[in-house]
Amino acid sequence: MKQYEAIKCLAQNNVAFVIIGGVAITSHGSSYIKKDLDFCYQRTRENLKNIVSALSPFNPKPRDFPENLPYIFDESKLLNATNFTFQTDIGDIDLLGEVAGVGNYEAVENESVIMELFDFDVKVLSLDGLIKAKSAAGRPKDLLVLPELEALKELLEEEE
Amino acid sequence: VAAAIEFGTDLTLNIGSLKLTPEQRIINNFQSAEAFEILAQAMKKSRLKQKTG
Repeated sequence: MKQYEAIKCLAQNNVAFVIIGGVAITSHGSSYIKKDLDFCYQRTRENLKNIVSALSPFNPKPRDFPENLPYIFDESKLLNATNFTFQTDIGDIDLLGEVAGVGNYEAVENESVIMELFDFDVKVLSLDGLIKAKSAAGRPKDLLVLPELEALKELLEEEE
Repeated sequence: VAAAIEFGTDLTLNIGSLKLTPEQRIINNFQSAEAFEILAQAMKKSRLKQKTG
C-alpha cells in the first residue's frame, strides 16, 4: 500500500485538497493505523480536472464497482456526486467534498495546518478540526480516537 | 494526557511516534496497515484449513 504516492501526485498537479481522517490523525502523532487515505477537495471545475490528472494513473474505481466492468474516471463522474470511496492500484482513497462537523472545502481549509510532506507543503486537518469531525461522525470507531486526539492536543500545547 | 489515561488509551506508541516527522508517521502507518493485512489473510487461510481439515 503506497497511498502516500497519491499525496505527491495531488500536490504535483496543484490540486486544492486537505488530508483528513485517519492519515491526518496519524500525521499528528496518533498510534491508530488506517488503511485508507481521505481527502477533502475543492469542487471547482479546474480542481476536478486536476484531480483526474493526479489520480488517473492509479486507476480509481468505486469500491463496490463490479470487477469485470470498465470504469472511466473523469470529470463528469466527479461532477455527479460529492463524496467518493475509491479502490485504486495503491489502496483505498476517499474523496469528500465536505466534512461533517466542519463543513465544505473552504471551512476545512480554514481548520487546516500546513505540513511538509514528500517535499510539498500540504494542508492537513488540525487536531481541533479532527476533534470536531470525529465528534460529529459519532460512530464507535470515531469516538474511540477522541481521547487520543484530546491527549495529543494537550501534549502539543504543553510543548509550546 | 488525563483524558487518555481516563479512557485507557496507550500513549506509549504516541510518544514514540511524536519523535518522527509527519511524513515518517504516514509511511509507517501504511507499512503497518500492509503488515496487518498480510497477517489477517494468513489467519483467514489458517482458519479455513482447520475447518476443511
